[in-house]
Amino acid sequence: MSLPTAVAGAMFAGVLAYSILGGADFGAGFWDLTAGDARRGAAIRALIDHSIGPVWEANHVWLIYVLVFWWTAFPSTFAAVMTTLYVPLLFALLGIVLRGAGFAYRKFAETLHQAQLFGAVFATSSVITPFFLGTVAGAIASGRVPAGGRGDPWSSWLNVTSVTGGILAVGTCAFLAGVWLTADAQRAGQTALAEQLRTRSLVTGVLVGVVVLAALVPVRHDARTLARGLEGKGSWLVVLSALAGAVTLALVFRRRHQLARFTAVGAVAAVVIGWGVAQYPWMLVDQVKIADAAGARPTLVGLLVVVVAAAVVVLPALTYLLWLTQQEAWSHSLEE
Amino acid sequence: LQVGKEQSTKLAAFELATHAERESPLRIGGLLINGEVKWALTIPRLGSLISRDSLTASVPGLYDVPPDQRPPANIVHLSFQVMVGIGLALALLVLYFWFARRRKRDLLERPLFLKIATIAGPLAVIALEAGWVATEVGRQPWTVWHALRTRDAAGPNSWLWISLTVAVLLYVGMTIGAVVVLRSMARRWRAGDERLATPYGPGR
Repeated sequence: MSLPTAVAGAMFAGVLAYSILGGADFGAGFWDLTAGDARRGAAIRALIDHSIGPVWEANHVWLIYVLVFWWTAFPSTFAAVMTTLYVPLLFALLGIVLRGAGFAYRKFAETLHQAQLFGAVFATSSVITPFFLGTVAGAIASGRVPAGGRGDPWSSWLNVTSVTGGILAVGTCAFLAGVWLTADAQRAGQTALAEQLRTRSLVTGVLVGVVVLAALVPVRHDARTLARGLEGKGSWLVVLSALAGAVTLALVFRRRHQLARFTAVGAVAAVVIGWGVAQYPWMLVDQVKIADAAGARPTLVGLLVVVVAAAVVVLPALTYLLWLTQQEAWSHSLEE
Repeated sequence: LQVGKEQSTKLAAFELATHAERESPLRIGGLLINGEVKWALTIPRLGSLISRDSLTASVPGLYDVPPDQRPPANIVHLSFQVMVGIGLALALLVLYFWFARRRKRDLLERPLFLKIATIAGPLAVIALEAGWVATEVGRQPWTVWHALRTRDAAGPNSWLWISLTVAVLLYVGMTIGAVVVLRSMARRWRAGDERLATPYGPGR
């Protein structure tokens, strides 16, 4: 494996981590948004606050990791994407900024009206952000970002592949969070809440599957390079993702929620890795290859050293945090 | 100071030095108006001593470079001195506190000291922001020193004013939200509510 490919792989690992950990975080906002009015939604919202509270905003380290790697290792393609896709990127940024503030303010709101206002800000921006980040992925994957940048600011992300990417991002976030929240509710002994979330997760899972299948036909015509990759070297990942998704639905149906958490992660991870494999060796599909986009060799070597250092420093702490939030003791503290 | 070697015009703006001079003075306060320094408290030789570790080494001057390479001196000078001034004042406040403590005087019982300590928090933030202004405006007109001008670094789109306006409005809104929530938290704590339960729904 060449040095640029290794760095691109390390960067893509960040994309994967953000899709899963950040995705579950954003998805919780989707369930907050669709929880219903204050009376019906109170239990779900309390569960969401309790579940994502400990990791609140920590997941954005992955976004920062990806962006810093990108502009350091592949600066010209970073500039090309920023000068082309600034509209969806600004909306994603707006969502990220408002989401964190809305979540924190609601937690300490005094009146129901305040909590509703801040909660609406949090929930709406949780859906906006993955949608626009998904359109950015779709724009890159369908070859709409020219190597020299300054592509069309609108048609680059308002097209069938980008919009599919956006919907798929929101859908996978919602599915992932739905399964994990159902498991949380079950562990906390809130049976009625777990049943409610179970039904919604099942519906969402089926809907996401249908959207993916329905979108395949237009995307095949729109993003030919990506489609060739998905049907060729990435096909086993597509199959794996579909299988993991189906197994997840079966497990949720049979109320095996704790096990379903892991197959749900597998399904989402396989989709994301499948996208990466399908567009390899392109950095910007049909425009710039990874090897041609890479910067100076000493920079790339330095970045790999950073990867190792970050893995040693961050991963144990993060793993411990995630493990703690999945313990019985934490689940039961919801009651107090 | 490293800045004199790396970014000479920034140091010149910090020190409000119009021309390179040996035995440079330290100018406290003051403004540069039409090429002349006015209303500054001038202490001889201290500028050279602080920035070059020598009583006679020269400090670079603003007017030694072409006009299109000079930073806006007054903003840089004043914000730099605000930062240094607040930093020194806060350090002195801490020293005074420990000095009094050694003399068996507890300043925590003095309302005046507590009031000053309350102001110290916002002052530290102002010092921080002033430091950012000093270093970022002091580097102008360059974004990357002697390689990329700010003018050329800006994006090609015509949205800069709109996005700046949206960003300002956004942060004003979030500041209002933060003040409302923090004040209500303080009020509830004072009233004896320690848990601050979130009102997720009616009657919760």
